[in-house]
Amino acid sequence: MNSHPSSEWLEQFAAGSLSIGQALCVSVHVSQCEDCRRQVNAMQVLGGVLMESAGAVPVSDRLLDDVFAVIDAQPQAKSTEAMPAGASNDNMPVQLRKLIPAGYDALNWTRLLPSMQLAVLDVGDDRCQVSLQRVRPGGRIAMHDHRGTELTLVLRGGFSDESGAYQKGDFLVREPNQRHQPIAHQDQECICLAAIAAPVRFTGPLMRWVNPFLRI
Amino acid sequence: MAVIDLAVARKAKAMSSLPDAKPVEEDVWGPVLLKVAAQDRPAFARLFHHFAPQLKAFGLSTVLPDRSGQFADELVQEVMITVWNKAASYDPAKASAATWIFTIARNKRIDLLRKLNRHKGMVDIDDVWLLEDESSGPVQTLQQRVMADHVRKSLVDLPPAQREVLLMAFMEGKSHSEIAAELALPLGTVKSRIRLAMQRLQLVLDRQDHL
Repeated sequence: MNSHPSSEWLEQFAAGSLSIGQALCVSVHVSQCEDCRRQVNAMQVLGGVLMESAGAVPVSDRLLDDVFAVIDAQPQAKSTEAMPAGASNDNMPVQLRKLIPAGYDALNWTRLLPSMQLAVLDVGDDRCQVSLQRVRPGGRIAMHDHRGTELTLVLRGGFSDESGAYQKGDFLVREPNQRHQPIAHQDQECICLAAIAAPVRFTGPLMRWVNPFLRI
Repeated sequence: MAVIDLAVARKAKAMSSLPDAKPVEEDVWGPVLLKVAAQDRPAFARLFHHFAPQLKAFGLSTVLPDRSGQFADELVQEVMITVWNKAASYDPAKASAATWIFTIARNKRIDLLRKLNRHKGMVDIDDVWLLEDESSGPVQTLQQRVMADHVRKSLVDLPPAQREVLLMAFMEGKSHSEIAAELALPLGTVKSRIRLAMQRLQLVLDRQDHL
């Protein structure tokens, strides 16, 4: 693994400000990379310190009673959640298991190019389109670019493009207008998780809530 | 408008100096959490009185869609219920109580916002933003504490402009581009303020920034 999220991606991940699709890409990398995990932990320490120092707003006394009431109404023994079944889950990152419960092959793949298939994942992210991209061994993708920033996380196999060779766990950022032409490595198919940000138009303080797919 | 008040309050926070950090920082709340793990209600009440007001401030700083009046209280409640339910998995060797509770609050906020936005999606927020770091062992306990101590002390000396963007990122949950838009600054300025702050707080490794 040699392509890591920069500290600004790690920091936004730790702060919780990335969209779910982007966070998913960072998260899968971080869970496979000790260095990045250490950094995220450090930034979470900062989060705790900031929360302590940022001030306090009194809460009503009733709130604690409400919390105890909910706790008392809960079933006593919290049963541990069963993992979704499926032998194909062994190599599936934990973050993706609910999205891909029966393995890659069972997804609804659409063939976009002779060498490439795509399956859209429903992560509930209105700021990003999240998908899996699957390229056959040695497959070549036409030169292309994106309307929005594209994050890529290699899940299986590897590929090369103008800027280098990438393998499992590698995390890449491609900015709009950064044209590239990936070629999957010869030895096996390549599967990548991709999050492509919708071109966002900022319209005011509630900008996040404006559907970014609408061109306003 | 509420948004403007928020900005003023944030600025005031960024300008004001932090309470003096004590020379030795023991995490007093870690042991209390361990008692909560043993279903100790008075311990939980103490923890609640300390953290709930911080969590409320955290909730109030969230940018919300419409009809979200009770968001902050709901967040406090959800976080504290999670604290009670997950206290048994809290490991003081891995994180201070404040760090652990921050991660729960961050995740709950994302989850509640997603519900307000009527999104579901087949992703468990706690799977993406893991609460536990299974890889770190007790060796890191001291590092963790020294780091928190260092962060707390150097935060005081951070230029207000840098502290402001950190607060917007972590407390308000805003991305760099959202911060840039709100402060009417170039994106690069926001990024470099955050990068400088991270460097001062010694939170970035030198090998970074190759992307």
